[in-house]
Amino acid sequence: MKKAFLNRYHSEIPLNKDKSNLFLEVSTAISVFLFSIVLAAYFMMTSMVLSWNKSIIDGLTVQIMPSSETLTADEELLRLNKVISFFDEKEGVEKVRVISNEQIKHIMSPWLGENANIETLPIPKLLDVKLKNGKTFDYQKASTELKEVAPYASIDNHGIWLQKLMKSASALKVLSLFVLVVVLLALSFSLFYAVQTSLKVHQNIIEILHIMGATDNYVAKQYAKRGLWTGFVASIIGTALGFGVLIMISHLSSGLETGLIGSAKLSAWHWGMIALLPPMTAILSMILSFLSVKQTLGKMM
Amino acid sequence: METHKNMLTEPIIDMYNVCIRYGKDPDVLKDIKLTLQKGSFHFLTGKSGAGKTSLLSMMYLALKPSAGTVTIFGSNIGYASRDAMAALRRRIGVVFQDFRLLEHLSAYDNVAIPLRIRGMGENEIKKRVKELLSWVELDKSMDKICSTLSGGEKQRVAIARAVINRPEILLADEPTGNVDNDIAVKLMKLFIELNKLGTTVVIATHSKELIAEYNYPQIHLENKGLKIIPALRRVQQ
Ligand SMILES: Nc1ncnc2c1ncn2[C@@H]1O[C@H](COP(=O)(O)OP(=O)(O)OP(=O)(O)O)[C@@H](O)[C@H]1O
Ligand SMILES: [Mg+2]
Repeated sequence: MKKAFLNRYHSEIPLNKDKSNLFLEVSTAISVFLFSIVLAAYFMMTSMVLSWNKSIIDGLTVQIMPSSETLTADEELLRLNKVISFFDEKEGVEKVRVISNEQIKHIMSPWLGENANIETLPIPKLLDVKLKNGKTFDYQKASTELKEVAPYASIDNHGIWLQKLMKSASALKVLSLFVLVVVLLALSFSLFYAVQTSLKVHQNIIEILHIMGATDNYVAKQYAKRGLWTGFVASIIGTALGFGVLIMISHLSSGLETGLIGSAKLSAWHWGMIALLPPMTAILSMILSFLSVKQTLGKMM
Repeated sequence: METHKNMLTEPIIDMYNVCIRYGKDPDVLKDIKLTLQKGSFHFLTGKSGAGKTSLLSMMYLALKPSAGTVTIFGSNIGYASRDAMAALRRRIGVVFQDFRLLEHLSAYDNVAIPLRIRGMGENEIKKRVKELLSWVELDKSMDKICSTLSGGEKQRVAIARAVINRPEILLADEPTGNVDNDIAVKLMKLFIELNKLGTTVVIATHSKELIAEYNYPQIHLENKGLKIIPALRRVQQ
């Protein structure tokens, strides 16, 4: 008989008709939504810092401004070699490479179009300087020394800038971890509160169950089952909303392809972690429901 | 009754200098001493408000004495843990004066509760519950939600729920107050059957007919105290 089958999963406390259910679902969904967004922000900052870190380690870029006078090819070469040998002799430098006109053309194409004739334009030459260890390389000092040797060349100072930026990004990461903990605490608290309210509402039924010999575990299991279910449904809603917002953000920021924000991408692994929120929340909500009931009933007669 | 008496050697409920009081109200019962032997059968009598329900609630461990010691199945309930209390309660069947059914559940599900609490399998539960419900003539109302049942039907569900687990102690508070006479007779027969199988029975009642008809001793409550009125020496079969 179908009924008997359903009875196996039947619980005596009518929790599915409980008013505290809606409260629980809404607060869980909101918490999970916030959690997913902040978690994504944390991941983005992590990958951003990682890529900045890499670009610092990678090295730096040197700009050689075109001269205001017309120079012969030899003179051009001399100007260039002066800068190259400056870096070649510098401690901590691994390799110096001239960025080809082809590459510059590619970089500039959004502004100049694919068919621009770079040779005729007063465009700076670029050197790519590979460093042995960017973290210990003193950008500031190298920059001052270069000015004396070749005043027409300058170090792109985004290394200095990045080092500062990374510090604030790390602070932001700590802050977002803090927010995550706060959201988690808020969720736990509202769960505990909802369970307490519900225990009061169903006090009469629970007392009858107790008189018939039910242990606190027996009652707590019914709440755990409810916790698992509402936790799962509500966190799917919360996570779906979070996904929606994140996809929107990544669409909006895809216009900022280059630059710093460009590296703030969520990897597949990150998306996977966020997608794990519903099962994790369901399990958390189940365990917390169980413990809340045990703790509250344990204090009664 | 004489052969019966041989079983009565092991105290199953023992109260010593027990007082019951609600909050700051005066004592309802004072310095009660009562020992019930395993397999005994008593009526619990006394005027309305004398404390019958209060005494029973102490026996089914829903009420702690304000003074004195209560020992049930050899355990002092003053020292029992919550889980130990639950284990003791599973050996006791209770019929409440106001039934206390779970109104949102069917008759079937109400009667199944003690078995589910014990963790019995659904197939075995189905067999037992159906059998008992048809015995109390409720097989037609088995799937009805309790809030839709009549008073007499509810009472039978309450009794079925109390005895389904074959309890060692059966405590019934006015169990025949709402049913027709022939059903009352049938229910009394059920209690007597259980008693013969070893269940200790206490039935609170106002009914003089019941007391007169069935020849059992009375625990009589009066003036906050208790006295045992022995069974009339009348051969009853
Ligand atoms: N929960 C309670 N809180 C306060 N007082 C109570 C409570 N339960 C019972 N009483 C009081 O204790 C006294 C005994 O009540 P109890 O219900 O035990 O009597 P009873 O003998 O079962 O009466 P009846 O025959 O009418 O069912 C009464 O004076 C009642 O007012
Ligand atoms: Mg009463």
